[in-house]
Amino acid sequence: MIRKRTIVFAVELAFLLGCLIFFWQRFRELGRGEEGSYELYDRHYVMITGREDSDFWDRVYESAVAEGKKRGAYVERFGEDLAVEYRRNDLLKMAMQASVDGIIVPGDEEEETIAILQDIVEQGIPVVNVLQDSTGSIRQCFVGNNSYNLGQDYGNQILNLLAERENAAGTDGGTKEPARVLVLVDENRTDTSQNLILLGIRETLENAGENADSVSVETSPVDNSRGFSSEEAIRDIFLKAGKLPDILVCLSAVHTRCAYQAAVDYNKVGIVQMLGYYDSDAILEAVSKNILYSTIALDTEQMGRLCVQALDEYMETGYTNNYMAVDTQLITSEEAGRLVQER
Amino acid sequence: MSRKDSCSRVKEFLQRKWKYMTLQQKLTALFLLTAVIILAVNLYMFALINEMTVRVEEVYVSNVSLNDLSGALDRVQGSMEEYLNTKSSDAMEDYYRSEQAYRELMDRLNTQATDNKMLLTEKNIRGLSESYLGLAAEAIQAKRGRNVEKYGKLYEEASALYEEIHTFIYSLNNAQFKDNSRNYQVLLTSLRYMEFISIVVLLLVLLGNISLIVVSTRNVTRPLHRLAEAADEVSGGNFEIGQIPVESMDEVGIVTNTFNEMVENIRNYIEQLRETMERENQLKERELMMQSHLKDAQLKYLQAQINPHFLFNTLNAGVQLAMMEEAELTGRFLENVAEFFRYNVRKNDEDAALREEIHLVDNYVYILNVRFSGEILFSKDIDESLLDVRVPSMILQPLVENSFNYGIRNIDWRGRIELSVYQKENKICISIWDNGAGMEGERIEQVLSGYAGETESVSGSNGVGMKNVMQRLKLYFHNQAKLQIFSEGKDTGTEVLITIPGKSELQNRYQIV
Repeated sequence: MIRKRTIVFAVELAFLLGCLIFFWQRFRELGRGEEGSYELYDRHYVMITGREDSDFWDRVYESAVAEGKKRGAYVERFGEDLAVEYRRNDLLKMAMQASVDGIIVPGDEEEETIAILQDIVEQGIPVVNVLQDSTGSIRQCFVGNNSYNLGQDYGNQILNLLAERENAAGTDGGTKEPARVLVLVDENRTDTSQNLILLGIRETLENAGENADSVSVETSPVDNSRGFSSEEAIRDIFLKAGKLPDILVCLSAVHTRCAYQAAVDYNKVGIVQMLGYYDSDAILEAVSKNILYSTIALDTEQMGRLCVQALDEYMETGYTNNYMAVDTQLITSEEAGRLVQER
Repeated sequence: MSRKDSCSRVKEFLQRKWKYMTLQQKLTALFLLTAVIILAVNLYMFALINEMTVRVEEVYVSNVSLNDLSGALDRVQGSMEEYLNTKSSDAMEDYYRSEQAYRELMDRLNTQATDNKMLLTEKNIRGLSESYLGLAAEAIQAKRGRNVEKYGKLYEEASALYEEIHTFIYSLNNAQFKDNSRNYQVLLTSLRYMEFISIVVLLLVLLGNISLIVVSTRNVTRPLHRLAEAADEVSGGNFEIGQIPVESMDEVGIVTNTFNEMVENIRNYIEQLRETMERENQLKERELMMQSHLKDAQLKYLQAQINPHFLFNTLNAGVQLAMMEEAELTGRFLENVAEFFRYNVRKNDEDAALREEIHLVDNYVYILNVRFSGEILFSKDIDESLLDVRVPSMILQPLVENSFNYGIRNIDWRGRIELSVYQKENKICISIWDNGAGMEGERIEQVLSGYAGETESVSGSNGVGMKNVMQRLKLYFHNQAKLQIFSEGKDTGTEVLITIPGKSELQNRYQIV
């Protein structure tokens, strides 16, 4: 009897103490806001990207942050939460003035950019160009894919498409017109990567024996400078009746999404064969449904990781590789279906 | 030493302490304990609520300090512009003052790399501010050196940076405001919950305290209950209750000890009393037996006085002789005399039926009539149903003898003796009446009080006088028998009346005996 009463008493006491301790802890955590749980790091790197292709850059950033945390460095998405949308070069300057420990930024060949990068490096802040290179600058490293190789990949896909087209024409017995390949290029991109891609495509086609009679490779500049302008420019292509390309090559995730959405909206799926870029869920879905013929994806995880590794290497040794290659992956319809299921 | 051991030692120590505490100390300790618990919980709750209130008050402090920072930056920029415009020493002083103020505010900002976005923004603001202050100082310096082109350029750069810092501060302010607002809401909700939780916790503590009080007071009052039950038993007369266990040495414990001793003492006292009474009873019994033996002895002594063995044997020889000589009257006479004496011998130590006593009187009167030539007229009026009543032997004959000797022996007229036995008002009356000399009242009193006894022995009677009869009757009937003498004076005759308990009364007594 006494034992039972003691147990009840003890349980009540324990419950009470538990409640009190729980609420004490809870209220101690409350209202702390910025002083809440956080960790300190030795180095402060920043990553500056444009607002376009946010999905792609988000994945690169996640990988960079994860790698940084392992190495005692925190990677900040600089300027992201600011009330004003600054140009990349302004953000670069600000990062320099804020005395960060390292900068990851997609480069270009603009003089202004090269000058700013020069200033930054001179201030002792290492810079890694990611995806796009500023070859004229004294940045420490470029982390990205080999654009020429990428062009070759696209070229091979175009050849596949041309072969299928020829087979179809053969069975139809129709006249053979030169196939029209339209590559969407970013008007604002001043780096050489797009040119190298185009070169890769053209040389691959030529090497395969295609000439101007059988295939024409054209570019269509898309203006990214204003908000939503790229989407409008791509829709314009579909609206120009009679001038529809046979094959549309997209070199960015945004262009890819705009293009396949426009193809669906204007009922041009199958009429315009499209080659995409990047492997977001939506793009994979489109590939698996054969709206896109294929897509080429960069290994974003590797890209983010290599950026931080390059910065750390430079911080520790004063040297780093000038170029670090990121793997690309060609995703066809079958693979896309598998990937969609996996995710 | 293991923890269990130390725990049990503490427990033992507390139990010992508790055992030797007085009732007042126990109740005070209990009250203090519960009061301290309630107080502690209240203080705890108060501290929690107080801290929350302070937090609510401080929620927007970070916004305020950012606003201060922003204001200080404005003043630096303003004073720099003022100096560049006017180059006045006031503006210069103003600039340095505002720069100092700004630096002080800046020093509060975070400088470390962290994964907290707001803290990281603080670090950026600090870095940018350092650059800005550097540019501003350079611009001031260039202004001093009148390097127009340079300070113009520096001013532009500084202004651009000033705007950018503002953007950073503004963005951080927004983020903090969002965060603070969320915290504010959470705090407000928590405060509301806190009221409820406080009540629940207090209720729980109250319940705990009540159970603590109930358990403890039960422990304190349990011995009291036991004591009350035991006292109840004792008051009902049951002293065989055993010792009440004493759990503590408080007042109840002391009372219980005393009670135990008291019950033990009472038990001993009762035992002693019982033994004493038994002893007294035994003494009384012995005394009674001695008295009885004494009476027996007295009776035997009295009977011995009238025990003429020799005469009886002689008379028997006479009877046999008369029978041989065929002298019938002599033989009958001697037979009566012999019966008379034989009765004496036979009834020496016994009582007798009334029938036997009357027969003896008949024998005696026959003898007298032979002696005195039949001058005695003897008559009987007997209730036959009373013939079996037991009476002490030898009580009627002496009275008849007295009636003859003192009543009718010396009178001139013919003597008459009448014996009657009858029942009256549940009493048996034996009356011996004579028409002889009668008695004066004074003489009657003397006889009844025993003074007349001395003369009897010399009067020539056989020794069993009135006094003897009276004593034996009293002894035999336990003072229930009465002997009365009625006489109206000289020559008026005398009646001796023996009253003994009636038949039913006698039966009752025999049954009791």
